[in-house]
Amino acid sequence: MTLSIAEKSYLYDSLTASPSIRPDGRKPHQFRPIEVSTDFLPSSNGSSRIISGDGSECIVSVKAKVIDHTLSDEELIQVDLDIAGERTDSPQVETLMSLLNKVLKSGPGFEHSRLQLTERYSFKIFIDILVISSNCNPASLISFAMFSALNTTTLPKLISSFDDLKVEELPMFDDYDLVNLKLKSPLVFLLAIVGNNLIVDPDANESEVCDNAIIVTWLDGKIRSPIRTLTLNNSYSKGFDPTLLQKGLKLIEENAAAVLTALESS
Amino acid sequence: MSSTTVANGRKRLSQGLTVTQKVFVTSRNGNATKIVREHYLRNDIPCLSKACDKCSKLVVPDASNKLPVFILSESPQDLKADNIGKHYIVLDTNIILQSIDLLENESCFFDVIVPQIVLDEVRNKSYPIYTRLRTLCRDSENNSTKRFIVFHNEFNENTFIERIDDESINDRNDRAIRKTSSWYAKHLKEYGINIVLLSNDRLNREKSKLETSTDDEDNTYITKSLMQYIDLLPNADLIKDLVPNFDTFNTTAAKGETLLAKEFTFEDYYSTSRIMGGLKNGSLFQGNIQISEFNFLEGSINLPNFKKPVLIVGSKNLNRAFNSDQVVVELLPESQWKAPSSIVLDAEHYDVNDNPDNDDEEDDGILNPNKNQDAQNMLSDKQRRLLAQDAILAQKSNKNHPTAKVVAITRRSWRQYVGQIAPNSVDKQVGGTQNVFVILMDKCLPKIRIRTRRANELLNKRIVISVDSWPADHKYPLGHFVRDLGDVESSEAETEALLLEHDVEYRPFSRKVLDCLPEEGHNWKAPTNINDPQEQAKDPLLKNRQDLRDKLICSIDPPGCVDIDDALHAKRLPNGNWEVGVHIADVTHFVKPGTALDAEGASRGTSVYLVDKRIDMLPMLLGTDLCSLKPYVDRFAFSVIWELDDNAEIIDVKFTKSVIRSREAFSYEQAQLRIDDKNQTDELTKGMRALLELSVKLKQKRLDAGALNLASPEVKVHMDSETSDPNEVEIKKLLATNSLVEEFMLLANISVARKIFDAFPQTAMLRRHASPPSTNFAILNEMLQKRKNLSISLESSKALADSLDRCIDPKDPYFNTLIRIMSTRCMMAAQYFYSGAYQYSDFRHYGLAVDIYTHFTSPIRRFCDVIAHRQLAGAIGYEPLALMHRDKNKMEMICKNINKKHRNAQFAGRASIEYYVGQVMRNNECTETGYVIKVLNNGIVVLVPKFGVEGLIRIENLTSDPSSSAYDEIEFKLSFMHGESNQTRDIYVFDKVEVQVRSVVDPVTGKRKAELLLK
Repeated sequence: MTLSIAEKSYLYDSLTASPSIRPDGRKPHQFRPIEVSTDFLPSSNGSSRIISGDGSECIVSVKAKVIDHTLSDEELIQVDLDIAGERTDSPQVETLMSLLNKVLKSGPGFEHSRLQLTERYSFKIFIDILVISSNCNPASLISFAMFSALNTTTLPKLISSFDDLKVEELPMFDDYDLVNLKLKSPLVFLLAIVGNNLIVDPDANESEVCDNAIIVTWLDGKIRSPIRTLTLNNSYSKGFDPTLLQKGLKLIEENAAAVLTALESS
Repeated sequence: MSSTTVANGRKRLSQGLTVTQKVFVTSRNGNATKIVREHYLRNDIPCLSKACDKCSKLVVPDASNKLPVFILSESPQDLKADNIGKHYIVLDTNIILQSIDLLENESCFFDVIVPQIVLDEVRNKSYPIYTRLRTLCRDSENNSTKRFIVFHNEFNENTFIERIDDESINDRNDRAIRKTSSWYAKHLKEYGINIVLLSNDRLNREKSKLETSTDDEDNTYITKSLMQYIDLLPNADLIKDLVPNFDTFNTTAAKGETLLAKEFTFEDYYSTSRIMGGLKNGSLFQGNIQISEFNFLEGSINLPNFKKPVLIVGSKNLNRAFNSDQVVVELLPESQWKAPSSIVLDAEHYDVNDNPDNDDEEDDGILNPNKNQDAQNMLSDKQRRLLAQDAILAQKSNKNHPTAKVVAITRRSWRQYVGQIAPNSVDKQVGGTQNVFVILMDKCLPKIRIRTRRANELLNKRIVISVDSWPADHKYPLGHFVRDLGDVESSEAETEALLLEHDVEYRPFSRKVLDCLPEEGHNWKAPTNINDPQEQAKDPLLKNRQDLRDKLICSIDPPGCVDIDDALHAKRLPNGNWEVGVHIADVTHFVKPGTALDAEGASRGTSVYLVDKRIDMLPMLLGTDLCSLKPYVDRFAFSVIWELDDNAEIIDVKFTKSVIRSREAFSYEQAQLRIDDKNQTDELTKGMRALLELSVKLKQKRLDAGALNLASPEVKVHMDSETSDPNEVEIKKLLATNSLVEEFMLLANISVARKIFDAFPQTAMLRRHASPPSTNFAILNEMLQKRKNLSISLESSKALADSLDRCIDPKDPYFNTLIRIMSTRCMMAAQYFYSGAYQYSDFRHYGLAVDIYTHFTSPIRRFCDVIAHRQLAGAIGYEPLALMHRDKNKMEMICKNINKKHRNAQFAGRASIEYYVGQVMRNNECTETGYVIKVLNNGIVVLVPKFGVEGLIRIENLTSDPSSSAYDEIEFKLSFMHGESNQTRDIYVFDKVEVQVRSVVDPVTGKRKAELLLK
């Protein structure tokens, strides 16, 4: 997005004012409206599509496969990201992929053991993310879409027995019935730092003039790793006061639950 | 465009076409995949009833531009009972699977609707029953009594239903069937035709009763179970016997009385997922089970990785498996391994006094050798795999043979069986329905329990039955009566029984097949001038034929032969070499690939020769007239022409399709006489003498290379010309002219094999004979070593032939023939195969000592030869080869089939000879020489060369004191007390003995057999 020096200066001044004045009039803790639809791909186990207020769009599909976890050490969740117009080895895609992999690592609250089928076999899920268009950093958008997809993912129902370590059985599944996975993935929030102010969900304009940005992950009512800083532009980036970090985390803690409720109700 | 609203979940594509989506999960190999299918619905599927005038306006032609044929009658069967009136029947899947025989019966089930969903379910459960059902539907167009249609309810907009959430697939299908019935009921209401839904599923019937009572008047239809419906038919009594037996109508316990707890029960089969897991990780094994013909309680199964077959001993371990079922087995722990039995046990004489009505059973040692089963269940898969490794090692030594038990049956080999009612299971006092046992002709199979009202009437008849089921709590399988063949011992019944048992198709050729024959019929003539343009226009391949009518060709065949496959000629060439030609009947000119005639021939596979009858592979018009190389007429042939030098070495070989005229048709004797007659000096005779000399040289070359000369007890039965009664039995003699024809046929087969393999290296039709593994000869060699200090070498076929020549007994010239006969039994069977299945070194024919071989010289009676002809025609560029003979998969199916049919034909021929020999002996009881060929714990097996018959003499018939007998398996000796003098008599294997031969009827089974008594 090309803004003239005058425009950038105007934006910076209004954003660093106290209280902070955002170009679209949002409060610092207010998110842009989004539209989410789920479960529209019949051949995937789960799917979701999210459209953000500025036209950014992202589709996530979840597919599952049965593997023998005693034989292989693979991770049970594998993510793949494709941003339209970007090469798969471009820095933006690579950093986002590494972020997503960290977000989805197994830990308390988000146990991969939910995917286990029998003593021997588990489901491995493949999350494919396609960012159709994006005007600003899509990390947060992607995580909302991923959450919606995983929330509505259904897996085949096992009808053979669970204990098959000693006496091997090949797992058999019900022809029609599917079971809800009920795995809630962490949400990623983006906070922009402008002067002494923190604003949540920065749009394209705001990203151009902010000093710095923080990525915060949130799961199960608590902040969790990864927490990172991120530069959203090349011209205005500079360091920031560590107290702002605390302020930012507190801001997320206050507002994240509402976001979660909104996403769950869709 | 009509804008009728579409049901939820469907989308209209055009007028008359809507689409809906089906989503389901398949579990394959442990993986679960989501499948999404589009499903199209149309509104112009007719009801196919002649009474309906609405549907005839709807119909559209199909892909081959044909309109659907309306089949269901406008005035179907009218039943007064229960207010049914004129009605059509809608069938549920279970009815078809259980009582397909009843559906095929001509005296019931006239107008029947098969919903498409039912057809699909039948196909998934049992492909053979599905084929029979489809044949019924296909033949309905031409059949006046049976009118079966398939109604495509899944494609019809009005009758398709979507699955409700949480509904199982079976429930959904049942609902679809009910919807079809109610749609039909409404559709045909105005024509006064009712619908009767037949289902043996109680839940389905209950739900339909509920639905019809709440539905509006128009949609009501009647629901009945099979028995309820049959009870209402006018000919109910006749039909009740044919209703299949699933023990749901068990009348042995009266109401209110508790059934005795059944102590006897077989182990349940493992679940599918357990089996798939076990097979994958090597703890369970799958294979085909063979029941030993000497002991019906012992089976063996050939498994990969195991050198020798694994034994399955005892009825509990056999777990209801039939001979040649495909089963899954689990190895038993080492403590239960044992040696193969040396006792003889057959189903007929075992548990003779069992009551067909009840099943309680005390444990006895022979049936259930392993007492503690619990130890088994503790084994983990890892331990099972270790057990398998131990078993493979144990097989290398001969001591303890690993045993296994059957844990699942993947494919039943059930078919219709011929048998007779066991006389002592019939209660003559009872008049109505009773349970009786049927003993089958096949000795390896158990008794079958059936219910019949006609037990007394059927006592001495050969009957055909079908097996229904073998529930775990029944000692014997359950079956039902299909039809009656006639009195036991009557030759029609016996011949038909024999053919049925050996799966030989003997019904006359159908209309479709006969339509493929040339329309001139017997007036067909070969064209007089090959170069005549008119003839060439009619048959474009004619120009590729050569005119060989100038050659002096003759044929030599058994006396009375009418289907002449082959003819020969020989001519001296100017350069001193011989031009020798073998001409084979050109069957493939008349039998083209892809025709009904070809399909029927491929299915029959071979002609079957019984003593008094011949079941042809191809219609007689071809076999005995148009293709047969009859003398004095022009005939089409496929010729192989060699240039041979005086030492019978092949200088050159040519193949061509030709027109020939045979000068004479000789019998073996006539040809021999003509050759020997010094006064005959014409060219034809000179040619025959040359052929004889060359054939002698060819034979010598073969024997030098190691060809085997084995013997089998071939006998010929002479029939009385007036009454067709068997008169006497003769052993076949070999003349020099037999050998003449044989040698040239072999040469032709070898030359053709090379040519077609060269042209079609992946799919050439060939025949191989694997060399016998040394284990097959192990026992024979041990016996020879012990008793006669001789041995048979297996290093090569030449070594085998030479060592067989050395196996002589100076005191008994027949001994050598005896050893040859026993060696034949140790050989592997020769088999047909396609060249892509093996590598060149495995093409070897051990018995003939050639590196590549096929069957080419008898296309009239063998289908392999028909294929070889087609391939040779392709190889020489006469006619392009049809795709089906270039496709490996299709060739594999063809080879499997002709191997099976070839084997069955041999067994059927032998069984026919056995039967007639039995009839001959019925009239003459006599004393003959016999040789002991096997010694067992409780008997000896004796071969009588004069009749070519072998029989078991049980210990009970050898001595009055069986318990005193002693079996020595090292010395191959059986000792027992003999006669009144109470001396010990020792019988060794290979001993020559005198036996009294007579034909008796077994009191238990009602079967006639040759009884041998030691003198």
